[in-house]
Amino acid sequence: MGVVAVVALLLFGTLGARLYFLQVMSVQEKLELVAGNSERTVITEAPRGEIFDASGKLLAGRRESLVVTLDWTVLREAGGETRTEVFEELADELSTAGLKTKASQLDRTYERAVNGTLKPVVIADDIGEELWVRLSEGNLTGISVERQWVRTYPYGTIAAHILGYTGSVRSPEQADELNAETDKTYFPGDEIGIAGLEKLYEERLRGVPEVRRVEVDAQNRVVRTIEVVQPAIPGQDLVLTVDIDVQYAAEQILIDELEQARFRENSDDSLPHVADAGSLVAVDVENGSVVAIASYPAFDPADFTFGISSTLWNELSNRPDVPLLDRTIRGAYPAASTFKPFVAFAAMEAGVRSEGFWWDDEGTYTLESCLDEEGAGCVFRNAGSAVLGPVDLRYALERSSDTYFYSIGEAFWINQSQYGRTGIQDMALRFGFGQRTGLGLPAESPGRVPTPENRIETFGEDAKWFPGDNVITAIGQGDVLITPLQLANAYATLATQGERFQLNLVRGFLNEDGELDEVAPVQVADEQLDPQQWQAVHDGLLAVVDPSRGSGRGTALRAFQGFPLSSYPIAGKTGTAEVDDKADFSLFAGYGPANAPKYSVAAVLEQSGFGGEAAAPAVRRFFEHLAGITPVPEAPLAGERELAIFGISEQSTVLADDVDPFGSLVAPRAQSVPQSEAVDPAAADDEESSE
Amino acid sequence: MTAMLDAPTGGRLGRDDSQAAKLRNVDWSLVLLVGAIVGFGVVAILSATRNQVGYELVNKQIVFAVVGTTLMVAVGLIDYDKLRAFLPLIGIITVVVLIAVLSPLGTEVRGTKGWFNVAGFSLQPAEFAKIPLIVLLAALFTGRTGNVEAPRIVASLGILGALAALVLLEGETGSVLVYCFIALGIFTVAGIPARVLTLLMVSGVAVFSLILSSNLLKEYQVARLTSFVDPNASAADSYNQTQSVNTIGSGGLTGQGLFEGPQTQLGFVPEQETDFIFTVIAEELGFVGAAAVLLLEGLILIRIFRISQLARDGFGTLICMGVFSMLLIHIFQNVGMTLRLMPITGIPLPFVSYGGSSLITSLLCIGLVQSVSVHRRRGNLERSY
Repeated sequence: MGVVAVVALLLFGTLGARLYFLQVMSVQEKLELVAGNSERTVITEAPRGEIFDASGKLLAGRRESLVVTLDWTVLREAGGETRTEVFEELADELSTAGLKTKASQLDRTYERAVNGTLKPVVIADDIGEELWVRLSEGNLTGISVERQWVRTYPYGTIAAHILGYTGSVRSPEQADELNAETDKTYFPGDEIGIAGLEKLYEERLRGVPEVRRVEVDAQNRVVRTIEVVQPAIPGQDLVLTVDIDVQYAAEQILIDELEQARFRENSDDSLPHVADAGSLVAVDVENGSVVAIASYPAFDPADFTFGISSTLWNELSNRPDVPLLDRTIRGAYPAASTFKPFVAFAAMEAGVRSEGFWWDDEGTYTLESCLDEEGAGCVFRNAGSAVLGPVDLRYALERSSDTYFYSIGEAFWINQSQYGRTGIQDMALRFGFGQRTGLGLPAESPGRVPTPENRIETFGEDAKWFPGDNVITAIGQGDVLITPLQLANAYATLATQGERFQLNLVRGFLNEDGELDEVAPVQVADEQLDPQQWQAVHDGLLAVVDPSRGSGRGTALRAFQGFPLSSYPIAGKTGTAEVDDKADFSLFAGYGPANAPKYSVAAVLEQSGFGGEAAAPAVRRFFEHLAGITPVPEAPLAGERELAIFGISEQSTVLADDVDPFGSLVAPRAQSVPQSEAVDPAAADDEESSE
Repeated sequence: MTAMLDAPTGGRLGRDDSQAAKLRNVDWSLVLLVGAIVGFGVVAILSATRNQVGYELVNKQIVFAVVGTTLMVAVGLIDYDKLRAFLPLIGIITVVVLIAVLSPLGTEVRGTKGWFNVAGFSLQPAEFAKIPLIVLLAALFTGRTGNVEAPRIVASLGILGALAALVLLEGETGSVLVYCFIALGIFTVAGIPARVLTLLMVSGVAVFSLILSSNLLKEYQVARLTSFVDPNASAADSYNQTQSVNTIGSGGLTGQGLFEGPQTQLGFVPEQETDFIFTVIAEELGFVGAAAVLLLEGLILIRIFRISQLARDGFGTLICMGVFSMLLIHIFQNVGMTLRLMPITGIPLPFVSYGGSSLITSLLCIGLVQSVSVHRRRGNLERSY
C-alpha cells in the first residue's frame, strides 16, 4: 500500500508543478497567446458619397442590401465533400426563394473566387427577410448573410453615361496598387468607381472605412467591440450642374428624333437611316457648366452594382449600337459643315478672304494645283451638286456653300508662306477642338484636328498631305474629328466672342455641415475675336435658322419654323457628315438667345440624314425647354429591380477599362480623300494623341 | 450528530450492525469533500455551458448528482460483504451489458459505440463496468486463504482481459487504461510479487503496442495516442491541447474571474464541460482554484486510503484501493491531458466533469468505500497508522 501512496504523491506532485509552471511562471506569454485567439480586426466600408442633380434630386444613392456571401477560404478548408453538400443545400434554398440556382453555378463561382479576393464574394443580393433568416440559422459552412451598402441609381438609365457605375476591387494586387496610388484604403472586394463620375470622383465619393477591433468566439462570430480604431467617415456628396428633368428631356428628344429619322425617306442615296444612336449636349456659355449631356442608347448602371452578368455584358458590348459608349465624349465624328464658322474666322484673320468678298459658287470646285490634269480627285462638289451662285461669307454660312470653303482650304495650302501652313487648324484649336474639354470624365476623346505633321505621326511616313486634304478639312470632313461636347463647347466660345471655359459637370461638393462648396468656373481661353469678323459669322448663323435674318434660304429654316426667334433668337449651323457605307450623320450646333447668349447646344444623330432634318429639330426642341416655351417633363424613377445571382468573373470583366468594348465604332471618314489604311486613332482611344 | 451521541457504545467486538453505529461510522469528511467538489463542478459546468445552452446541462448534472447520491447512500448502507454471494452474477451481467452495447441496442456518440439511450439520458456501460471490475478483482484476491496464487492471477487477468477487450471494441481506449490501472493498484496492494508485476506490465505494454499496430483501433484513436508524442500527427488534437495549455496559463494566480474567462466564454476551450473542465476552472479561478480542485481530489483519495486501512477485511481494503486507483488514474490522466502531460483520451475528471455515467459511477464507488467505512471494526477510527 505504501507503494500506491508514493505513486499517488508523485503523480499529484507532477500535476501541481506543471500547473504552477503554467499559471504562475508563464502567465504573461499565455495571456498574449490567448488574446490573439479572440481578437480580430474588422474593416467595414464607409457609405459611399451620394450624387445629386442641380435641384437636389438623388441620382446615385446608397442603401443596405441583404446579401448572401461565399467565403472561399472557409470552403476550401472544409474540403470537397462539404463544399458539394453546402452548394447543393444553398442552391435548394435559393431556388425555393425564387432564385433559380444550380449547385454547379455556385461551384463555378467558388472556383473563380479562389485566390481572387480576400473578402467573401456576394452570390445573391437583395434576398428577402425570410431567406435571410433561414440562411443565418442554417449554418452552411462558408456561407453567410450580411448587410452591405450598395449603390442605387433611382433614375435607371437616365444620365447613366455620366454617372458611370461601380464595381469591386478585383484582387489583392489591385488593392495594393490603389493603396500606393491614392490616399484611400482599399481591400479586395471593396466598392470602387469604374466609369463616369463614379470613377472621376472616386477619391471624394469613397469614404474612410471603419476599423474595429472585435472579440470573436470560437465560431468566429463577433461577440463585442473592443475598440473602434478608426470610425467610418462617409464619402463626400456630389452636386451636379445637370438637372435630371432637363437631362431626361434631352434624352427623350434624342430618342424621338432618331425614331422620326428612321421613318424619313432617304432622299440622298440608297443607304437606309439606321438612326440608332446619337447625342445631345448643352452647356452654359457663361461658365462652362454642362446643362444636359445625353447619349443614346444607354444602359442601367445598377446592372453593375454586384458585377454584371456575363450574358448581359456580352449583350451590351456586342450590340452594334454600343450602348456603353458615351458618345458625347467618346464619339468622334466628322465636324462637317458645323466646322465652317471656324474656317471663316481663320480665313478672315489670315486675310485669305474678307467677309465682303463675293465668290461664285458653281456647284463644283476644281483644284487649282491640278487644273492641267483630268484626275477625278481634283474636282470637289457641293452637297447634291447644288449651284448657289454668288455667295459672301454670311450667305455661304446660311446656305452652307462647300465650294466657298473649298477655295479657302486650297488658298491656305497654296499660299503657305503668306497664311501659315496650318491656319485653319490653328483656329480650330483656339475653339477647343483637338483637345479634351476639361470635363475630366474617363476616356474622353480629344478628337482630331489634322495637320500634315500629325498625320505622319499618326499614320506613318507614307501618309502624305495632299492639297485635297486642306480642301476637305475646310468643310470639316477628311480627318477632322470632333466630339459632340467639343462642338457645343466651340459654339459656346463663339457665342461669348472668344471666352472659353473648362467644361464642368459638378456644381460642388457637400461639406460636413451639408453646405455646398461650389466649384468656381475656370476660364481657359479668351480669344478676343475681332468684333466685325464675329458679327459676320454671327449674322450668317442667325440666317441659318431665321428667314428674316438672311435670304430666307437657310439650311435649318424648316427645323425652326414656328420657334419664337424674335424673342429668343438662335444662331446655329447644320452639318451633314459623310461616312463610309453609312447614311449621313446629322449634326447641328447653335447658341441662344443669340442677343445675349446663355446656352450652346449641339446634337449629332448617327445615320439620320441631313443636319437640318434630324439634329436641327432636336436642338430646336431642346431650346423650347430652355426658353420656357415647352415645360420640362419630370424624369420618371426606375422601377424595383429583381433578385439576381452573380458570380465573380462577371465583375472582373467589367472592371477592366482597358478592354475597349467600343472598338466596333470606327470613327467615320469622308470619301474621296487620299488616305492611308491605318486605323483611326480616335477609336483606339489613344490618350497621348491630345495636342 | 445526535445519532452518534445516542449510539450504543458497548457491545461485542467486531461487527456493530445497529443503525446508529452505521451512521457514526460514516466517513463524514469524505461526504463533505465529495459534496464540495461536486458543487465546484456544477459551477464550472455552468460557466462552461451557459453561453451555449443556459442552465440545461447544469440542471442535468444536478439530477445526476441527486441520483448518484441516492445510490451512494443505498450502497453505503449495504454490507459490502454481501456482494460476495453475487460475484458470478455480477460478472455475467457486466459482460452481457458490454456485449449488448455493441449490438444495435447501443448508439454511437463521438466515435465510440458505447452508449445506451435511456429516457433521454446517455449511459456509458464502460464507466459503470469499473465497479464490477473492482469488486470482482478485490474478491478474487481475498478468498478463504488470502494467498496470492498463480491461478488467481490468471483468473484476474482473464476478467481484466475480457472487460478490456469488450470496451476496446466499443472504442473506449481511455477506459482500458483505467481498467489496467485499477488492476495494477489491486495487484500491488494484494501483494503480488514485484517481479510478477513487472512481467505483467511489460507484457501489457507489448499487447498494447500490438493493438496499436493492428487494425483494432480506429485511426483517430491511434492518432490521439500518438499525437502526444508527435504534435504534428493530428492537428485538431494538438490544437485542442495547445488551446488548453494556453488557457490554463492565461488564468494566472487568481484567474480571470468566474464566468469571465474569455477562452471559456467564447468557446475556444474544446469539450470544456467534460474532458476539459479543469481548463475552465484554471482559466477563471486561476492557480488558486485549480489547486483547490486538486486538493479536494487529493483529500478524497487520502480519506479513501485511510478507510482502506481501517477496513474490516482484505476485501474491503482492496475495494477501497481499487476505487483509489481508479480515481487516481482519472485525475492524473484528465488533468495531465489538459496540461499536456498526457495524451488526449476522453477520460473525465471525477466528480467535476459533466456526465451522468461518470458522476454516478464515482458516487457509487464512494458508496462502496462508505460501506467499507460503515462496516469497519469498531473503535479503530482513532487508531493512527
